[in-house]
Amino acid sequence: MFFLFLPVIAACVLFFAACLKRQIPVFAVGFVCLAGAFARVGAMSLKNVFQGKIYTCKIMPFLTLNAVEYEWGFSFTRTELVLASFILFVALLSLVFAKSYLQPEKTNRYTMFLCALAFCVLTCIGSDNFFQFFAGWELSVLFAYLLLLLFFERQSVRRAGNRFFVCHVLSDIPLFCAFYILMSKTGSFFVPPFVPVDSVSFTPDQAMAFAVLALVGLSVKLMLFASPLPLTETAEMCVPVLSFVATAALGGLGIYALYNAYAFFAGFRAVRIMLCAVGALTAAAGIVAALCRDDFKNVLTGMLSSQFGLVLTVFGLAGRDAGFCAYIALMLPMSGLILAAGTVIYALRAQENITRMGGLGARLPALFWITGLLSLCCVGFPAVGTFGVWQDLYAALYVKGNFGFALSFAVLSFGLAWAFARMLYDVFFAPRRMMLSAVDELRPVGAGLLIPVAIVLTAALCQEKIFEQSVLDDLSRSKALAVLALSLVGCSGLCFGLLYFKRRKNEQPFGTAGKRLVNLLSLAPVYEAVIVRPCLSFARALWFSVGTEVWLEKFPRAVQRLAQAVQKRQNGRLSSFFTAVLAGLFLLTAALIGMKG
Amino acid sequence: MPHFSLIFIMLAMPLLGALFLLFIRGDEERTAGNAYAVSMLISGCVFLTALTAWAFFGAHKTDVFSAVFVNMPAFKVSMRVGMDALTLFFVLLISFLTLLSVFISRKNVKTKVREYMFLTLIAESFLLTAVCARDLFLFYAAFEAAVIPLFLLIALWGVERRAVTPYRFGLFAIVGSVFLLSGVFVLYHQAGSSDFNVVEAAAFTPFYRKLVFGLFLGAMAFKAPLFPFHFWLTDSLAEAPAAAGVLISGVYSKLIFYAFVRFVIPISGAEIEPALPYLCCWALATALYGALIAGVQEDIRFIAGFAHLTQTGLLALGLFCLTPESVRGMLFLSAAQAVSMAAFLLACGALWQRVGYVQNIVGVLSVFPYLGAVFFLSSLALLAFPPMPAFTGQFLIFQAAFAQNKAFAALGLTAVMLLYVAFFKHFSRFLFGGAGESPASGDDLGARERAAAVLLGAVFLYLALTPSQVFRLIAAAVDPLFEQG
Repeated sequence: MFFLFLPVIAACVLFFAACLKRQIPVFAVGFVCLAGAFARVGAMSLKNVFQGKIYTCKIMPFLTLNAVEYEWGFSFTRTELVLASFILFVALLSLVFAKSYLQPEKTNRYTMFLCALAFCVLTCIGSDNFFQFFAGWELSVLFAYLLLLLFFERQSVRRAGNRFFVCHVLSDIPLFCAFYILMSKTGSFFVPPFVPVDSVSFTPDQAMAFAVLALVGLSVKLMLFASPLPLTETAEMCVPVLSFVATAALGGLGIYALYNAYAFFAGFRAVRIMLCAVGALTAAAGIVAALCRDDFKNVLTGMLSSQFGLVLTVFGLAGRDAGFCAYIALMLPMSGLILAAGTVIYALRAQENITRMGGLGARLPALFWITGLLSLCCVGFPAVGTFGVWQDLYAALYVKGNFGFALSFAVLSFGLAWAFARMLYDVFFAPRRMMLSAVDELRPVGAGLLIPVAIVLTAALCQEKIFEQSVLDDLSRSKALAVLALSLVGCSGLCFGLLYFKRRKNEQPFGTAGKRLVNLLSLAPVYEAVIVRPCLSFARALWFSVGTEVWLEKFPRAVQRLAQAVQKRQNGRLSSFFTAVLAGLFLLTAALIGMKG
Repeated sequence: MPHFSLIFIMLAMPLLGALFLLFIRGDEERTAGNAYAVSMLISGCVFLTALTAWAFFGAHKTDVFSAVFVNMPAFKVSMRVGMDALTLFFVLLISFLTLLSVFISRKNVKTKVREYMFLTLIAESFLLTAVCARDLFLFYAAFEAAVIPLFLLIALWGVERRAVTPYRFGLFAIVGSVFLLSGVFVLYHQAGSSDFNVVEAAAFTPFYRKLVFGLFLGAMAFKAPLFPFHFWLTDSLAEAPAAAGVLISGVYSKLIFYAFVRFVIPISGAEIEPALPYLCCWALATALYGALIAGVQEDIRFIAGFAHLTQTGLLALGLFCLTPESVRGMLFLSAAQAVSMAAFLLACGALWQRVGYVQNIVGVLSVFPYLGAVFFLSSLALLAFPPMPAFTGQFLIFQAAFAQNKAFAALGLTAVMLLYVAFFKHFSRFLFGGAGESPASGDDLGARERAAAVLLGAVFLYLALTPSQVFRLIAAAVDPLFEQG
């Protein structure tokens, strides 16, 4: 398990090197440590898959409460190992990408925080008790916040950083409450899956309350509908950070927590319908956001949110294993797509508005093909990477839900594919919209930027092999055909979308009405008006009115006046003072003697 | 009377050291150096003695060390001192914080060093006597006497408004002491003795049980303090020199909790149970008020002051939940908070010394990397950000609160999260940069300050990673309270 500590060792080395102002090969340190950790976790995953080996490592005792001992350590079963491999893989590629993408002066800080974040996520998912779980959970948010602040010179980034952190920690309140409910049932501080599900018996109301609290607690990490964190704040992250933090690190933590919490409300139909409803709303809101925004990173976060919505829907309808598979299947190409978007932004010298791009298909052919293939993977196009995974998802929805649910899912997927089509068209197919000089001066895209994206693409294309073991038994012929048809309907949005946008050419497809709708869906103004402003006003009113004046000014002044009055009465004579003191002492002694008697 | 010498030596050492300081002569620089060396030696020895006591302690639940403090048969006065698990816990805290205060004062205090050290040692002596006392009047006298050196430390070495702040501190302390003295008198009147053993064994009528609890609650409201009697605290923490701030926040404000665990709760017993939910509400109001007000402050020192108030509210919540877990959590939180506040005040003091102002300062990390890192970590510790030590204490308190009433836990969590918001609102600007005044280049933390930071870091790591031993000590202190019912 030593290899799991490599990321934190790297973070410490980089921190002290920065403090001591020593020059060290930052990238090499980060890369070696992350690669070492990834190689080890990958090997553990393979052993788990083929030999069913479970890894447990106790590092040191933490606390003994009520004769139960809690320890620091790592416990990895298959889910944790797959998730850890995925997280370290994305972290590694993000680091490689950042080497070429970021300015050298930012690299040290980026690598340090990235390694620390990767370790914190591992700490969280490898925990067996709440203390370690929350330590990893909160530290992950902290390092994600610090990564977001990488470009702190920009005021918008600082503001986004503050809101990002605030939203994350506020959403922890319901999550803590959900876990306290669990603790009150189990009587221990162990986290699922180290708590037997049978030992917790919820009534339907309790299960619903637990699920709602857990879902609200995870809403910010999974970018769910009505989450207080608008997507624009997440989009302020720089590209390498966005590709790791939003998809793998915080998203992975959110999915992991949901995966484990799900076991406790899986038997309650109402709760699962609620999950589906929130998932569908999130998917729809994400699609609208992706279609109505012009900023490249905002478009991507919209799509990301939409995909989290789809994953949640799968959780609700087809169970947690299918949901977890869906998460990995969707997020792997998505992280690559974000990196590819970063390459476009890099080539265009920080131009992030997709309506000012266009015509890049011919100028950046390699990038065009990679981005196109990743988009196909994201939407589950036939004969490309994730089609089999998507088919499995549809099949699971169809069998465990019904045809209506699967059709709804197909409609949402169609919308998502449509959003991808818009992005691809605007960036690569649309006529050139930039000034000629800008096009001619495209920054050369080196192998350092393309290689990580290509690796993600390769992994995404191989996903079908990874998820070959279907979540379901073989379907009957008619059902299989229906599932195939639904899968094709879902991904056909990409083709129809490309055709649609090609016909519209330069016209803006979504006007101000669409943008207003996006703002409305994000609910940010509502939160601002209902919670933030009243809370701040209340705090200010408290500060200026309640007590401050009375206790800090009036009370001391009254005492001072009293003292002056006494002094005036005694005329300030020392003998009078002594007389009064002696009288007081006499009375005290008399009282003591009286009590004693 | 086993180990008679140990407890006596521990109580006498700071006083003797303080007296010795008065005889140091020479030019100012030499006097300062010698005074510092003597104080370090004395406070270090006291801390070592406390550690030795811990090593001797084992898992005893009664007084392991005891001695007669004052014995005057002619006046029928006999006062004892003793040390059990609860006392030892506070003795460790006081001696460590005093050592730290002395250590960091070398650079922070430039004038009248001898007098400063004298007052610090005197304060330590009084505080140690208060927790070791096994007599009500000795406890009261030592507790109140500690106000005088703390008052003088603020008045003479305070930062900006040192004419007003100590006055407020003294005033509120006196009002609190009126309640405390009244409570002590009632106990003495009913028990017929001021000895703890006699008082605890005495039979009190329900009326007097409630009265005692009410009077000590009044004292707590002013001394802990609780909303709305807290105004002296934020002022004092912002204005006091680092050493005084450490002692006020870490020890002085915690002693009233000690009094509750030591004798108020055992005496009041079941009579107070109906009032506990209301008291929990009061504690939560304090925590929420502190967190809310911290959110609208601009000066980082005042934010820290209100953070302290929030934590005090949570300590009170732990006490009033009155379960073994919550009281254990409360004691652990009080220790963790004391150490966190010490680290924060160390960082603030160092910053003040370098730039002269703390308000509206930006980009500390780029100019003073070590100081910025210490400031950041100490702030996280103050906020009880997991896995900082205070988190464990808070976690246990909230768990007990949740078992009592789910809303209590939710409100307590809200207060903690609002506190995060208050701090993090300023962090990006303060640490990294933005609109405001960036400090000119200057020296980063010196060797002595780094050593203090490392020492504190080691304590943090110990408390955060393996708090088992401290919890064992706390359990030995708390379990008898609940075994008695």
